[in-house]
Amino acid sequence: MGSAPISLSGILKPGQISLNLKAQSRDGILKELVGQTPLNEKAQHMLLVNLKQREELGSTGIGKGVAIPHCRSLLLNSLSLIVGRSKNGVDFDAIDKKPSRLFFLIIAPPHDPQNQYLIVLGRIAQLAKGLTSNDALFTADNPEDFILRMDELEKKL
Amino acid sequence: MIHPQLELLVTLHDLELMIKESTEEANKQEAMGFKIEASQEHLNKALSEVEKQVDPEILNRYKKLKQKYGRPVVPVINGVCCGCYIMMPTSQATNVKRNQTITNCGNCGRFLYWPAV
Repeated sequence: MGSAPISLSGILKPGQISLNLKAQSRDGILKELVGQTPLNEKAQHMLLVNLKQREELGSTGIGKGVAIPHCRSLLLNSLSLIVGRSKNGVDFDAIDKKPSRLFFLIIAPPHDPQNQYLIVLGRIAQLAKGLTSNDALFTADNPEDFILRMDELEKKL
Repeated sequence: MIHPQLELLVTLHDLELMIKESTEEANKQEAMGFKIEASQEHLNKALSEVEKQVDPEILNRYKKLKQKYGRPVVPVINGVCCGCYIMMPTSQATNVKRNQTITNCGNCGRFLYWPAV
């Protein structure tokens, strides 16, 4: 018997969505996103360093206003998905050179037998490619509406 | 609180994993739309900086465990060592000072880390 397919809208909880990020820089955005993980201050700092190193390997700004910072780390024992949105966007060195406004932070443990990490990463990247600049994900007023829109978009994948 | 040497081991582990995956999974990530630079110089440099800070005896053990198992630091989840899947003795599993000391699995010897939920 196979396991149930992963649903992004199922993983995402309203408390993991912040629709008004304040930071004006890539590192500031990463810090705000990491601040929403269930890690203590020391572990948040370790994760932040890890994420910056990943960005230096190549920007996770995949264009269309979306960036998907991600890494694997021993610091968490299950996959964590955090969403953040910045009104004006920040320079994330994205492929299309446009500011990134919507951020999906994915942290996965090294021990990941079902390889949820790559599946979730792939689904978000696929979903992002279909977004238009005025999609409801960029305009939703509250986390609940954001999740509903994610659900609609996922059904079309 | 986390023991400073355990912090370094976790950092080392995560860095090595990033280097490994950026090589082995580069094609998959590029197909998803991510840019992956061929140069891992900054990661190798960071790795070497962290290694310099680890106690030589601990680093030696880390490297031996890496050679033997691939992953020398493993998480403990629900009281189980995720390296050999042996249940920790109750005294170890319920230790409130977890991560504040350097602990090795009594069965496989891997370094243990208790992650956040």
